[in-house]
Amino acid sequence: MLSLTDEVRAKLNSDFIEKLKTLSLTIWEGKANGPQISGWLSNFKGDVLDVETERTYMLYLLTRFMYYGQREIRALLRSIYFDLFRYPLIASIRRRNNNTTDTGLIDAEFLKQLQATRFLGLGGVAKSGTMLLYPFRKATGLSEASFVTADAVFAGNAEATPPLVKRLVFIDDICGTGEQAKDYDAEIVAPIRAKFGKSIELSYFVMFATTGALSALRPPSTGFDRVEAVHELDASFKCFDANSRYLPTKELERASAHRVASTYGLRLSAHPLGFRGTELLLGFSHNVPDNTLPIMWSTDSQWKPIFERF
Amino acid sequence: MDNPFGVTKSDDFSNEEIQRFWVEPGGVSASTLLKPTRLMSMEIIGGKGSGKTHLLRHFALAVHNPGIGEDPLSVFEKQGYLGVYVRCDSLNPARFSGKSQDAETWLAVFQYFIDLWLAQALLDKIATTIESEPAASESLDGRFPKAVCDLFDEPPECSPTTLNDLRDLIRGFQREIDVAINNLPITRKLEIRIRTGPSRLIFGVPQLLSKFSARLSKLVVLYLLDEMENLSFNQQRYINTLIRHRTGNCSFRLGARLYGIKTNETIVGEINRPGAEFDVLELDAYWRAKRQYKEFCAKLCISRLQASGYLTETRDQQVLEKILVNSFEEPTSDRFYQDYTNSLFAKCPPHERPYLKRLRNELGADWKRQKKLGIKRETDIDEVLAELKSEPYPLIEKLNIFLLYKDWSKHRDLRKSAVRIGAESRQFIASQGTEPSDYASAYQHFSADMLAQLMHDARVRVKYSGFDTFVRMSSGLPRNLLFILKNVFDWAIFHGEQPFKGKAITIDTQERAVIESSSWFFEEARPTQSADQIQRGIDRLATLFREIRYSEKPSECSLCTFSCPVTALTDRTKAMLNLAQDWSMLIKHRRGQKDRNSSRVDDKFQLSPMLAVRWELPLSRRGALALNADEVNAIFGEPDDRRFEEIKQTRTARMSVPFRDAGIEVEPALFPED
Amino acid sequence: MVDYTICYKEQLQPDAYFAAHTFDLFCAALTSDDRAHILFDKANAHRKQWLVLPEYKFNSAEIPQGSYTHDIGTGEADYIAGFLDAAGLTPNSKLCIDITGLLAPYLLFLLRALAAKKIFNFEVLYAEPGKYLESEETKFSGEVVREVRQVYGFEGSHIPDTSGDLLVLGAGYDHQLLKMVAMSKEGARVVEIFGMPALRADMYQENILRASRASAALGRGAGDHQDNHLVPAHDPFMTATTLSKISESSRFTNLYLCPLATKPQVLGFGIYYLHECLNKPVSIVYPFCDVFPQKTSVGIGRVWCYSAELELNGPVSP
Repeated sequence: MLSLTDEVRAKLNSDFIEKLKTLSLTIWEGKANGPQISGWLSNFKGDVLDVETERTYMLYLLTRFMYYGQREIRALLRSIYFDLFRYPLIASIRRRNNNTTDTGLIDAEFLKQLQATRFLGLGGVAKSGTMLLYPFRKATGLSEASFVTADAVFAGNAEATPPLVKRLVFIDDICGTGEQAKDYDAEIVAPIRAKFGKSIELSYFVMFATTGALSALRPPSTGFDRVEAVHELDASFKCFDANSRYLPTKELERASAHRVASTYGLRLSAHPLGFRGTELLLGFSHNVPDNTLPIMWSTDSQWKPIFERF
Repeated sequence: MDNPFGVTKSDDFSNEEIQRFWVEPGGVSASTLLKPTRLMSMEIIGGKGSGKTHLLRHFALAVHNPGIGEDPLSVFEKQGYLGVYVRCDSLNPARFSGKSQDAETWLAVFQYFIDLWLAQALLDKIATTIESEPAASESLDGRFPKAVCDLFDEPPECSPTTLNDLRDLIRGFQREIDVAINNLPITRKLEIRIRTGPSRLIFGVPQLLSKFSARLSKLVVLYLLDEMENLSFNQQRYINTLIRHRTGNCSFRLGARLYGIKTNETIVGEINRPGAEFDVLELDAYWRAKRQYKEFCAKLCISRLQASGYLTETRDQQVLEKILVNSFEEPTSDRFYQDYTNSLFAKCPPHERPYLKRLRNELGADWKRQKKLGIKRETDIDEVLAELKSEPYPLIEKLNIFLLYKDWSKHRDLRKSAVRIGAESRQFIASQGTEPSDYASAYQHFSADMLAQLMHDARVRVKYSGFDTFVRMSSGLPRNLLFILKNVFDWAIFHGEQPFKGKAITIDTQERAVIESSSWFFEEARPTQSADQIQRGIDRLATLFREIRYSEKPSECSLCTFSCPVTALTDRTKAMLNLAQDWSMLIKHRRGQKDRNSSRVDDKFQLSPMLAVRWELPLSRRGALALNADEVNAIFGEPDDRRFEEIKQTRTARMSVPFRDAGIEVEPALFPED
Repeated sequence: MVDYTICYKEQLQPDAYFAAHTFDLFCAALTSDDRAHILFDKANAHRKQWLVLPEYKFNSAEIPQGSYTHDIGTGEADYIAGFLDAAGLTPNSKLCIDITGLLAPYLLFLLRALAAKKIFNFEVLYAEPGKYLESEETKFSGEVVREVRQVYGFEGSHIPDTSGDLLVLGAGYDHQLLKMVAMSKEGARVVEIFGMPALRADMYQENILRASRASAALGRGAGDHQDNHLVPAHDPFMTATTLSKISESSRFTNLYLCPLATKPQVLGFGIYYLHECLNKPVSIVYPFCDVFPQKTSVGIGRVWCYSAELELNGPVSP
């Protein structure tokens, strides 16, 4: 194991704290300030490496944590709308009309498509996908009429189903393993298909998804017609993967960090490195997904989290 | 939470804020500094953050508010000048070059362009000044625009009859130039019709203004050209020509960085001289020389804090300054920093303090050598240590050991030295440091260095804290102070503190901010050319100072300054020194340093206090290290470290046990210079 | 207001794309990155040509035959003008430009020069890297700035009143460049555009950290994040739209634009300028370095195809 001299550790800690200060005061919305970091670091008591080294490793992981605040989430949701929904439709309209640049024509055709589309969250009320609908509406300026619930679809509500509605777009914040969405494939998508066949296009657009989750969700694995993510998280985003983008660094080893995270993680969760071993370092202002290392968010056994999971 | 020091550049202020945050510099009115009605032009030279832009912008605005019943014009009539502020970079002067056109063509275009530019700026200023005064407006319609048009070689196609039409006309002429230059890479030809001779508008419009407007007839038009360093050599020659051949009721105030003025030559090769064609005001040198700088800084900070809703309890300036100073925690110097220094060594028994252990080892290292110094056996060492110890006061112990090292370097009997030093120190303690004595003088000069060494012995970083410290660090550049305080505020919020709301900001918070500010200064004070060489030179210099400061017997106290005979340096080294000064990394001191061995007066340079922090060096200068040309060339001129390492080794060998090659001792300056 | 978002922006699979499109000319800036060579090799064109930019410092042995080279030190305008003179393009030519390695001033002037030749429509490709060589420590420029100046062809007609000057910075990783530009326009209020979504999920945060190191030069504190604009890093059309909105909603005396982030962002700045800013008090400024690293990445990520349409609101004046 690479050992850290006092001097190296002091320099690293100083650099990490400086980064965390900048993040806390800017895009982390005041979260993870000095006292909170001290409280969180006190969880690590030297059970794996010496206490100071453990804390240096954990400070490093914290600097690599990707936190998305409200502004950033709105930007991601706008990207779902523009990149995944609007651009392809506009392209299709233009191509059908000899590459026209007549914005009057294009807008009118797009409006027709939009009016035939409904947006809904994946999951029930109070699930994070559904909770995103309000900020999504604010970020895009869409009217309330563009939004429905899954219940309205099942009930055959005319405003939510064909022939008026030709497209349902499900919105979600993260798909780490595809298990949740697969459940909904069975509970929601399959019944919709059974009822409406191919007369309705079903899309699943998510802010973040792992490569594995995307391939588990894309057709023909599920009944969705389109499955897209704004950010695809490949294996390099797994904290302790052989191709991890986080470790090793010049001074810090992957194996040591892994041991620390696993050992403490085991005391906190049946999934010590995040749900089904996703090993993510990711959180949102509205929640931290359980795909993220539990040492970041757990409150079990009097653990002091650095980011809260609701 | 908004940071009251979040805006550090005066450029980010609106005109209204410029006036609101204006503080008279150090007890002297700004008018006394800038002399706005004096027709002789002036160069205002200052480093980044010296307040140069703030000062120039201030003079573009009305200094006073009109009294009841007074109109806005009367303010200008009273102050006697009309300031026209222009930033040279707004001309985008780099575009008047290259693009397959020769220098002569570009100079002609530039002269024409800047004449139109300044004429527009002046007309804009006049328009905003008189817009609420119908009578004044009317007096400038009709004949005035026509008279300005007569300054052109040919009458324009449409003759303007109003001031606004005149402005539009000149703006149109300027736009012709802009479009032609922008299209030049596409069209590959530059077709510009130059419609008037050089300087006719610049001098002519002010004269016409006074002719046609009774109320503005006695005003001096003050062209305030900021950021002159953005103009090329030839472009500056044109400005020098304007200064030298100035006519009528206008004058120039040029703002420039140190070494931003590239030439004093005119277009035809005449040389303008300070005191003859122009005055010079060196702003940061002015600040540093002024005892009122600290007071100015306090006022500046208080006005910022009050604007953000802090310090609203009182209007009493003295009380406010006290609250400001007390907002920053500092270690108490009571009883020779007893509390603080004991806390440094709380975890070790007094007799095992690192510096005592080190001395014991050194004394016992070589009996054959030590015999000559009166140390023959272990018990002798015990006696020496017993004399030097002063358990409640680690700082006194440290000073005692330093004084012993001094005697050691002179090959004195160390047992006798220890007895003498011990007695003097006990006397000093008993008098609480109030009685003058050699020991008291040594404490006065070296206590700061010994305190820094104690922190090193305790393996902690030297702490810089307190408002005074920040003022010193800023070294005459108010922007530096604001930047430090901005960082202090941010760190305080991050640490969960509540700055300026009663409880003092902790030393730890201040330390973080100071380190960050110093790093920024080192990285930002990075000239475009030779950046690496300058940083390397500064790093070597600071390393040399540091090794001396933290040696057992530093030759100078409070070392952050060196002197050298500049004329003997290589051209490359001189260029590096100039660049380092230009970017305020080194500060040249006016008075120089008299060489001990001759009557020569060498130049003296201090490492910027903003950088001193990075190497844990003192902020206030006392002793100066006399370096010869060879040494300075090795520090600033050599691409590799070999020669520098040799010099460092030679210098510091004299300051460490066994103090070989003592050579010539340089005594510390007895009286501090600030 | 121009709706830039009607332009085509699609992620493509290179094999399928080139199977369906044949060009008269395909050109790309020569670098040592895999992504540039992968696209060049796959491209389907009657003529393919590397542009050898002097800043990459390739020696003659490294330059493929048939590449376009030009004397050093003459600037972006002479280089591009020489290239176009030799290329013999017409308004009907099917042109495809891979902008992945094309340095910003060259890309910008190329847009201007093509519009002047009435070549308003062409395809633009951009390949994201598989992975940057040294992650967030990757150097994208030589970092020693020779000068900050207006890009040729993007020099506005400014006014002497600088009291409301505005500098819009497309913030990239290189905080030294950010600083140099901010310092060159000390009098301007600064607004930053950050790539969000970034090209990769962790790049936005790293960008914020880097940009904060320039905060002193920008004259702003750490808490001024609310003034920043978040625009997808891969989307030139949203970039152009955002610039248009900033310009419309901000009262400014002079406006300076500087794209320091991704090539799609540079494209967006250029498209916006040509549509809305010619002969106005708006300029694009840039920090010019003498040296750029030949290789910054390995592998290839997403590949984007953008339609450059330079007369969305009528012909762009030459």
